[in-house]
Amino acid sequence: LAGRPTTPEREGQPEAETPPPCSRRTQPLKLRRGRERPGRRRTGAVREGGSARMGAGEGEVSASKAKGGGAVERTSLDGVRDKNVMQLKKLNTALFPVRYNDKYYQDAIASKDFSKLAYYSDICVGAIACRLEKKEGGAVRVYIMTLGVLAPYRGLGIGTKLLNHVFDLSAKQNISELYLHVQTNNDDAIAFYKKFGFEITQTIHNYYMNITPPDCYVLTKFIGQAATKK
Amino acid sequence: MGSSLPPKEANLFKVIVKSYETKQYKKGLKAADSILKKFPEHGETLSMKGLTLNCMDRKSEAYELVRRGLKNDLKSHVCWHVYGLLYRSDREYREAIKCYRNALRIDPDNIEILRDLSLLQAQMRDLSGFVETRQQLLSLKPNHRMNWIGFAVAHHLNSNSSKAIEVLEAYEGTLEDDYPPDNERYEHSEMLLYKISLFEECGMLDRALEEMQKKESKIVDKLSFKEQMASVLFKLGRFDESESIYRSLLFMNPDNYKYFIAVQKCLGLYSDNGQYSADDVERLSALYNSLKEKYAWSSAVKRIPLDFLEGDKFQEAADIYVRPLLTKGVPSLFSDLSPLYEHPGKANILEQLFLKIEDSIRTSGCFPGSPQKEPPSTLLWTMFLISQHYDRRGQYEIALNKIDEAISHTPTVIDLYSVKGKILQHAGNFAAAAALADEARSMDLADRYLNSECVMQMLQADQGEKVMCVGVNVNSNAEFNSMKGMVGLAEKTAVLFTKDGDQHNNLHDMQCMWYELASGESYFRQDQFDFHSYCLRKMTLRAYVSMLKFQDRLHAHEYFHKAAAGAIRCYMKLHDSPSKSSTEENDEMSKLPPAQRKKLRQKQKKAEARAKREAEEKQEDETASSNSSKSGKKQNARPVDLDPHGEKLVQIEDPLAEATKYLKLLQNNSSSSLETHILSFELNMRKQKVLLAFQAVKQLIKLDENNPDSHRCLIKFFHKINSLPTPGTDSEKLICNVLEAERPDIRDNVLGLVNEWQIQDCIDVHKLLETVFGDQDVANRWKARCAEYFPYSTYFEGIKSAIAAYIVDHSLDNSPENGIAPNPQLKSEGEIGTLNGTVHIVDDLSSLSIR
Repeated sequence: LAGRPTTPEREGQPEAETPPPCSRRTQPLKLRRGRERPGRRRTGAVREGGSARMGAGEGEVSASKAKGGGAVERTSLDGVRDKNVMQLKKLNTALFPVRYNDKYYQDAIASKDFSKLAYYSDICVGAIACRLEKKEGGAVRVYIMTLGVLAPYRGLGIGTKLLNHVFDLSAKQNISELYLHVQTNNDDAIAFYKKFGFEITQTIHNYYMNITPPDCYVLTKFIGQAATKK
Repeated sequence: MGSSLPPKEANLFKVIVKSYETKQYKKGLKAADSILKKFPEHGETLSMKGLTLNCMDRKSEAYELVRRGLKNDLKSHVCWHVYGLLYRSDREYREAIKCYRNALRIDPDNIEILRDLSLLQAQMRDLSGFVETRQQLLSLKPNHRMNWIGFAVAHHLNSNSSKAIEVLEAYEGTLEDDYPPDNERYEHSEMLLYKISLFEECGMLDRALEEMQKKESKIVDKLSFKEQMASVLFKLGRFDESESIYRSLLFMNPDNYKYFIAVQKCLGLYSDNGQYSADDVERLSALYNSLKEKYAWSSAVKRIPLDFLEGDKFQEAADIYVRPLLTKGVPSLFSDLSPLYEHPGKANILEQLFLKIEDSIRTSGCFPGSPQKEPPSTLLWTMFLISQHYDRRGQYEIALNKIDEAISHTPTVIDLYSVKGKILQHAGNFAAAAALADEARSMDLADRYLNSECVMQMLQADQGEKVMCVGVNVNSNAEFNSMKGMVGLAEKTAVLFTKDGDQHNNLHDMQCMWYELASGESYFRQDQFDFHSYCLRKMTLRAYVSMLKFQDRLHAHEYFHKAAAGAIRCYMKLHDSPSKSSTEENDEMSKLPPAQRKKLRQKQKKAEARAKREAEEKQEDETASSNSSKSGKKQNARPVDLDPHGEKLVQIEDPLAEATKYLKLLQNNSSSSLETHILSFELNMRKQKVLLAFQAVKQLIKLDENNPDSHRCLIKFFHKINSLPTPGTDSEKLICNVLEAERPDIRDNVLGLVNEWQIQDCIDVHKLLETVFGDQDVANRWKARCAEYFPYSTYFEGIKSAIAAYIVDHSLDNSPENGIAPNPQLKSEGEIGTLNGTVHIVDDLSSLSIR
């Protein structure tokens, strides 16, 4: 399910898409400023990513049922720190055709427990990287920058575990909104996220450059105080 | 003490002593000063003040005061004792012993001084003196257990075990029947076990057994008791009983190889060289099959049979052994199996097995014949294993392809990068190996092993500068500091030997080991000193004695061997290219292109700045710790290395004489090592000691006549003696005659075909052709041939040495480990054998020189 999510943070999103810079005022929560500066655009980035994302949603569910809890027991999560950030870099190199800049990694580390590496019998095989953003009015929301699992380790429920972790943590911290970006033709990923209660809340045209379609959906999930599903 | 003082000052003096003992140094200092106000030349007070200052890191003042105190009161045992303590704190043990002896001359029955003296005697291995002092202590205070035990241990160390037993029995005679009380059961039990091991050591096996049966209820350490019992029974030839105890020990720990081997020995099924008859193998299999049923979780019980099984049975057992380890993901699996590659035929069987497993997992996701789906990581670990397998067999091309495949399967496993670095190292591309090691390091910055590994690889690739960068990036931990030290040394050497010498790579590597070892040894010595009294107090006697024995054997230890060998090489190198005066160095530098010169200068500057900074930091540390010394917790700060770059070390007058010292140690302690004799050969050739060199050659041939190094030394030797001038003096004639007489022997012995060519051997041959024979044409032909067989070698400039530079880009945009096009596979081992064809060139040459 690599790149299953979203190819979020696809560089090259128009400046206009960045949220209002309200977060500059937000020292106490140590939030990051808006999203990255637009970077280089890469041709074919999502194409490759797209093929890597095959078999997201359903595949995941059925496979994890078939293999039972054993695989999940072998899986553990660990935080992203400066000592192991290279693991995240290695994963992203393998998973996404995009190079992330330093700010991405700083954000991931700064999000503390929201970004996690997934270890499958002590091998790092997947990660979720998030950034905390402050909205107007002071509420905090979570932006899922990337979520991915190395190809040989898909279908073991690892992506689900990573996502659920972020849901649980958000609920604990009374954060009610999570969002991410998905390319509009990435049906598997969209189905996967819908299964977890995400809904399409916006379509951004020409979000990506040099790939077709260049549009993306914004998928958003609102959670109450209730526990997550699964 | 302080008796010559009036009552008030005498009391103050007591305060000084007490403050010293309780580490309240400031208080002691105050008291001393107030005595000295009235009696400025009072010797004992001056001494005590000095001792106190010594603990506050004011060393030079301390010595001055103590010496002045002693001068003022030569008849005071206190002054002498203090002087001894001062020397002891600086580890000048011999001087300290002298001082104690003087103190005892004045006050022969002073228990404290006697005790301190005995510790020093043990430390310096003055064993007869140790016995004497211990006896005196015992006669002064016979009611202390520690004095009895100390006396016994002294006898034991002085190789008089039976006397030690007598002492212990006499001690037991003084005890009540219901001894020991509950709170001393462990100590008493240790004493009994110690006594029993003494019985065993002097061959009094029946007494040992009797004692064990009698005292069993008083022995707390049941495990040691059982081990001892089994060992004694075995020595008595009561194999059945011994076996059943070993089996019960296996029940407690079914992964202790010692117990398995002991059971084998009891059954008469053990051979040191691992050779067994078919019948024995049968019986061994039966034994281990039955043990396997009992201890299904033991890995030893599955691993040991791989050593004696052959053929199909071996394959079957290996299959069963590796499967769960591949599933689990045990990175050390290959090193566990690697001894099997020494056994003929097993490497081939393992290769087939591994490939079968890989194929099965790829196609079905399961092990051959198993319905159980394997986790995705099994394929990864299988490829990892196969890669190491091909590396071990010298098929680097396949090994690299396999490891690249594994890396693209799971790019986050650090071990993959380490192993890839090792393969490249073996294939002869040190720069690429260092780059990979650095990549591995970058993936877990908290791993000290990876740091060390990386530094080693970089040193081998002559990248001293980069090492420093690593050093700066990494948290300063103890290993790293010592490494920085050695890098300073290595860098200095690099500057001194600006030209790339042979041995250069080794030089770096070795010199560091030596450096580390030197500090390691001094730490060890210090530790041992504290142990002398601790062990006697705690009664961990057996551990104590074996520790002392270990210390005495230290020179035979592998690391010492390596270090000494490195030191010898360094000294020889120094002899070959004596260090240059600064003007010469400048000359040397001006020869370099300007860019390089600048770099070199910068490097030197950086190094100096760094040294300064470090020294400052150290000083800060020290002041900080002396401030906190009130708490008394201060560990003795290591004195600042006065010679961090080894400059003084390098400017030695006669390097060969220094080298000879180390060589003597090696010859005494590891005479069975090939390397010892190679070094002896090289050294004696340089010293023009033809006969000693010849002796070394003979030893080499005796040890391993097919070793390429033996061969090389022999060739060099005859080349040398053929170019000697006609003998002039009588002694020269004598030497000549001896050599003539020995010559035929040698010729028949050597020149066997070399079985397996390692890259280092080929490099050595090339150097030999180039330097000793000076035949550039043959050397070039050799190089061209080798470049074909070692395409990754940077030395031979093989075709892949450049592509494989594998510069690691941490920004990672195109990770090279996936980007290298698959190379055509290297031909199998059989083809490498054709290298033997070219060996004839050398053989021809050697016989030429022999004629």
